[in-house]
Amino acid sequence: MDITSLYFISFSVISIFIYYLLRNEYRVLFLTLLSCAFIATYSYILLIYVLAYSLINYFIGLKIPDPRFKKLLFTTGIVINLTQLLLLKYVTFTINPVFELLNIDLDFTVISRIIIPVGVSFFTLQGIGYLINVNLGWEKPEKNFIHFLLYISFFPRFLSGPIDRSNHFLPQLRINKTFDGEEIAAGFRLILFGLFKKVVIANQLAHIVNGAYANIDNSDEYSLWAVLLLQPLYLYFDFSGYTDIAFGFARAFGIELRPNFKRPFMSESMTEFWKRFHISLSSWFHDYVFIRTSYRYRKWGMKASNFALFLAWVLFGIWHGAGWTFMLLGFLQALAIYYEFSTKKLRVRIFSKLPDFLRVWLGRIFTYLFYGTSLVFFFAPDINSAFTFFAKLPLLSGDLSMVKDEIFQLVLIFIFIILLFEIIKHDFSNIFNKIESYWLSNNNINRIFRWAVYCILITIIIVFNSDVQQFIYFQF
Amino acid sequence: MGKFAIKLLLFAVIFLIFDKLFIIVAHFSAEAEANKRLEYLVNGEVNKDIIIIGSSSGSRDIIASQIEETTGLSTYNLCYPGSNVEFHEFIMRTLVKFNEPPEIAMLVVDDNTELLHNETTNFRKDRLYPLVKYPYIWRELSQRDERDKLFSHFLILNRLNKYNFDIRKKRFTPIDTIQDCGSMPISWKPEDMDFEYVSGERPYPVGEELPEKVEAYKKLIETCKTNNINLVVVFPPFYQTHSESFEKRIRQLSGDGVYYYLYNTENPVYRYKDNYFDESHLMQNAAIEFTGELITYLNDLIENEIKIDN
Repeated sequence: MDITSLYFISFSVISIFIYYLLRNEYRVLFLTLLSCAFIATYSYILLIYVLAYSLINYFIGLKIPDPRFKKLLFTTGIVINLTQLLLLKYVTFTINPVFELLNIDLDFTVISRIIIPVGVSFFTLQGIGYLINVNLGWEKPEKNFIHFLLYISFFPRFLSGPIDRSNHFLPQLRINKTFDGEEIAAGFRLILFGLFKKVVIANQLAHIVNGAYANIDNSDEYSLWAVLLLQPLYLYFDFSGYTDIAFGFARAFGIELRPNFKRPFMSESMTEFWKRFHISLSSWFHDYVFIRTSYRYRKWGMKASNFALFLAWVLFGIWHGAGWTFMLLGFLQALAIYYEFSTKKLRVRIFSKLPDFLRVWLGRIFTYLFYGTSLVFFFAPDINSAFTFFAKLPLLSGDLSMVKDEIFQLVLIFIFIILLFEIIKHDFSNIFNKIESYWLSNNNINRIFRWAVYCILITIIIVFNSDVQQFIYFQF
Repeated sequence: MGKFAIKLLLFAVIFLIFDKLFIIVAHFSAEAEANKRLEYLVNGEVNKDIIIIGSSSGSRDIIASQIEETTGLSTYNLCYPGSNVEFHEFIMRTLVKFNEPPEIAMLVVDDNTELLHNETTNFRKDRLYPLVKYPYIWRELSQRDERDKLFSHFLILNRLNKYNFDIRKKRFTPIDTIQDCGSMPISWKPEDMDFEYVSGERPYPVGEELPEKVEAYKKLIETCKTNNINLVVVFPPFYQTHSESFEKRIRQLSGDGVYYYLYNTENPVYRYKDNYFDESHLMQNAAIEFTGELITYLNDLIENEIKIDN
């Protein structure tokens, strides 16, 4: 079920009311059933798979604290998690080529064709994270299977995250929730805003970006430059739109998800950028790969950190998919962070002489450009296409026909307004707080104005929703 | 919770009332259209003896008014550039639903690509959206998964597309001017238009056919048979060697009771590059020549095989 569809929105809104009408002890079960039903709309086999996956991790988690089996069970759990991920997502990159070399006529892709592994990359990291937490004693094993199943399958974030932590999510299920109209209204506002970002902005940019990558050879150079500059915005509006929808529904159900975006384009460096963009994934790799690896090889000194940095980011890249492009994407992020770390003193000495405003904006622009450039490896279907993209850029010829399109101009205006709000929120927080408190104040004139704006936003969303485009992170 | 639910319900009611205002947009977007052919169809205004259906090659290469003047049979061109066989099937279905079935329907097929994946043709939803004020049209869009059918019943907005809001009067451009007879011949071409002759028989890849296109093609033929329409499948000239294997496949799919017309492959007019706008469309002078050939065939057909009541 597409989460931008009117069916999904309507069912979810009705579910929120049913949820609060139920007695507290039945609410988690209700949410779990809803999540299972949501997964079943994609495939019953996937639902059975998720149930089996949860059951295995649940039992392993339960038994890990037993010192007799701790190491064995933990290792088994991690191996099971990684193997199923490998079989469902990386067969074409790993197992099949080996079989081809050995002349073995076996095709493992049949497994992923049967299961349709939607959301597998997300829930696997949640499963692994849970086992590591329990193994390190950071949390006690979850005894209630229904709670654990909901942790894995919670429907607003099942498809594309954010990747939650068990010690953040599970304790919330034990708290009694009372109906809070303000919170639910805030959740609805987030959903509305998320839908606007996804349907009205990202879906329109999708035509330009995907169109160019589908036919790089025939795209003119000006268009490729436009794509290079637009693709970070496309990814951001698509993914943060989904995240807002997920957050909104979770909030309405009284559940708080871990933040995933914090105005990323306000970042002055790539190091800062990855603390603001897809936070749930980058922090997962930071906590469970970078920190653990640095700690494990701490005798190596700085070399351990550098090794852990590159390992974490290359794995981060590979997490997105099987291919050299994703590996290079991760490697480039590691390279940028390594450069920033190793030249920090020098850069501070040089740039501290510049006026604050100029320094801040230079940092933001360079960060944006670097990220935009590295995203060529994210969107390009293969490494050759990525290099063709770069090779065509310096030629500078063609016709920016997209600029003449009125819908595109309208989308650019929307982007400008939203980014302006982000700048105000970040750089002029006092002004933003005043706007926000005025916006939410409960006098009648304000309410009429607010409702009118909501009506217009819903109108735009419904009208633009005829261009259905899959969420980018859905594929992971 | 009750108070919140009432507030939400009140908002929903206000939004539903607000939604009904957009019936005006639906109305004006139909009015603003320059290409009225589909609206004529839905309104039952296309009651002709001969109908031409197809994509751009049919709209550029066959001049309906020339056929009408010569044969005395009323003729109308319903070919849409960029449309695929699923759209042609929709046009035929709409034609017989709201109008008198024609005596003859000519289906102009695209050499080789008619039933294959083709980036340049699609189901022209953009032609349907301006007409969403007609329930028949928005239901068709719903059936094609374009919109939730249930919501379209009570939400006008759910029938609209962003282009409906451009209610400025549309005008024809030189490349898409439609004559009164529905044809769109081209009498000019840009200087930098370049293309090469594709020679030699190309094997037709039956295995690559799209099932939905094959299904639409069969359905179109079935509609013609059910409504006693004499269907002529026309293979127009392309700047390439005619694909006999494609023709064979079309004949095989069509079954009995269908007529075929293949352009005169010996005619030198179709070998001369200047007579083409591009590799798949004739210039107007060559289109007149081709239509003339077609008229000769039709006259022969009417005289010998088809009985037309005037």
